[in-house]
Amino acid sequence: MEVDMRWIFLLLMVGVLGCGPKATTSTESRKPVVYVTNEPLRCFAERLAGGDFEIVFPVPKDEDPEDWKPEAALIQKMQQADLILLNGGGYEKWLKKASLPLATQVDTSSAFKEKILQNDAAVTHSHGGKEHAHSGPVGQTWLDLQLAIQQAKAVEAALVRLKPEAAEAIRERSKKLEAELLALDTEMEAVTKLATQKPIIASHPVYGYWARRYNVNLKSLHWEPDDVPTEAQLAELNKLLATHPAKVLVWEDEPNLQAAELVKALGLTSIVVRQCGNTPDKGDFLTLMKKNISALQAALK
Amino acid sequence: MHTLYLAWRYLLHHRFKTLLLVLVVAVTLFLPAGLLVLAGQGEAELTARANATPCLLGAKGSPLELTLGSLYFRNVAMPAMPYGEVDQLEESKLGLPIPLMLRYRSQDDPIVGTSLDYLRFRKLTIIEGNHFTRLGDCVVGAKVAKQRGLHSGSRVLSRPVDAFDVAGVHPLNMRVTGVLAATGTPDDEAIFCDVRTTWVIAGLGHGHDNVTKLQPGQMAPYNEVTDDNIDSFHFHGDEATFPISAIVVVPTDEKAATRLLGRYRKPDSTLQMIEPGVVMGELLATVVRLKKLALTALTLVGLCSLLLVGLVLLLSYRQRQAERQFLVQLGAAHSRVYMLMLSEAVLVIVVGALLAGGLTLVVWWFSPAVLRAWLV
Repeated sequence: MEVDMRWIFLLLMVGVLGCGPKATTSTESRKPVVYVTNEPLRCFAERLAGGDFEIVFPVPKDEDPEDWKPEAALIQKMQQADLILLNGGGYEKWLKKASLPLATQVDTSSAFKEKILQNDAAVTHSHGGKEHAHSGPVGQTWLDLQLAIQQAKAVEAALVRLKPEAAEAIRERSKKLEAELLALDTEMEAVTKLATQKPIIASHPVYGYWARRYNVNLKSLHWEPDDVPTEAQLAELNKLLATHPAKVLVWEDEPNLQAAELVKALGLTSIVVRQCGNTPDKGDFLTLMKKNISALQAALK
Repeated sequence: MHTLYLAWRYLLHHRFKTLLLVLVVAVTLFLPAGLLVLAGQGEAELTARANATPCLLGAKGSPLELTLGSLYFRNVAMPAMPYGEVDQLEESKLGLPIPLMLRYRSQDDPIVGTSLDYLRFRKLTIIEGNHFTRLGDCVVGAKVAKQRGLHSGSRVLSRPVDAFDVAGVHPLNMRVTGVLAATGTPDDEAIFCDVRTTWVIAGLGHGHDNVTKLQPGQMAPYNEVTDDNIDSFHFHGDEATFPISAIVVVPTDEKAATRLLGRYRKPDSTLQMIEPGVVMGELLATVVRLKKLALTALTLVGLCSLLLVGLVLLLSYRQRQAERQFLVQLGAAHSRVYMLMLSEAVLVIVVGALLAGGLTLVVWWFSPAVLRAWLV
């Protein structure tokens, strides 16, 4: 059989061109840049983005995103971002002093503004010689996993708006994420049912949404896990125990050993339920929530 | 060719008379043409910014004042409206709201409290420094920077609303973080900062400086946001109730624009949403009527002037009877002599028309800048 050499050459050329690296323009290769302000939003955005977006979570691992504030150089970078996903509900306190475009900001909790909790007791402090009382909204909305689902939906909508051509894939991933969050919500509901009648004390007033969603009989202190409670703080706890006889004290992080011993002496079991504001060394928001459920299950059974 | 040369030589010989005739023709043609160009460019100048601003939301009152205040930063009475409207518009997803707080000035330059979206919307770029990043920062328009010698790192001080506002608004010493590129619009003459910075000027937010730095009874001459005191700055009250002057609304699409306009047309609404292009169009409709009157008057004057030119040429023709006869005696054909006279008249009209054209070009070239300074 006679073979036409020109056809062989043409096929080879097609093969070479087809296998070579794809020529992309700079706009094609540039991924939309999305800034997030806490771990739950980072987790949702990463899960939904699927590599189509560049997700930036600028808060250092050792800082609480609620108390963090960006430097001017970072604000300049954020000003150039395509999207800034905010937790809302007063979580980003720095936002009132920073200038970012409104067009790129998305408040993921705006759909449930009426459900935002306010700190009951205003923390009073003095500055400038005069006392000021500052009360404000509670930020940890995601600890109510139903609200977390709504926030994930807001992330989905924002990403779809930013890259409509990836809408189908984003929605597909969103369904999977919603299913995971729903499963966690069901598990959390089941676990907390064990404590419906049992009073619980939290070391910090950050569990408001969790207590409301899962009907937990919770009272809060204002203790830091790293600190050893003072005499006054222990007296305050004793006073609280008189009206709220809890057997469990929920900490945000592993408590100081001495603190754990002191509360143990008062008949309290210390457990860690992380608020999941920042990214853990291993895993993400979802794995942290699973650990929280396990810790609660062990303490409440 | 000879005829034209002879006509040209004749006109040069009678320089003064020729110049007078050329000027009359030039002025007669230039006045209506120049007015048309000036009016057209004035119209374009006024409507360009208005047409580039889809919708404006403000407190109920004069739509024209809302337009002039928000678009050209004119010092007009603009009743305040609550910032909460920005949140409501954001939630409606019908468009991008850009707040404007226009109450304050630094010397005579307007301070525009807004969001960075305004700079993007007007395509204002930074040629020196950076955008404002925090409370107390500002960027300055090209003209302000040039006139006041401002650069990135300079300071500008807000001034009280009026000279007798001694106990009221405390001046804010703002940090200039950048200078905007010139655009030939009112933005060149303004100072831009975050809307919250204007609330600090208004006294709705404040920080707590180290009072030990001051002597007893001494008061800081102005407020200032610094690296040391920024953390102490806070606002008292609900931000949604804080005042702004207007909101530029960029609807997502035409349907959204219609819905937005309808939303604020309710009789009980305390706000009005206007289309600045329409408002300026109505204003210009009045100007166009005046322009037509002026053009008619100028055309009549022009006609009279041309008739006078004709009369002058006719008289000149009669006066030059002896000259014509002399040319005929020299052997020139009658037709050539008439052609010579006609060429002189045509040359006068052509040179006059060219001069009018040149003047009109000058008006066309320089009028945008003059109009900008005069109109806005």
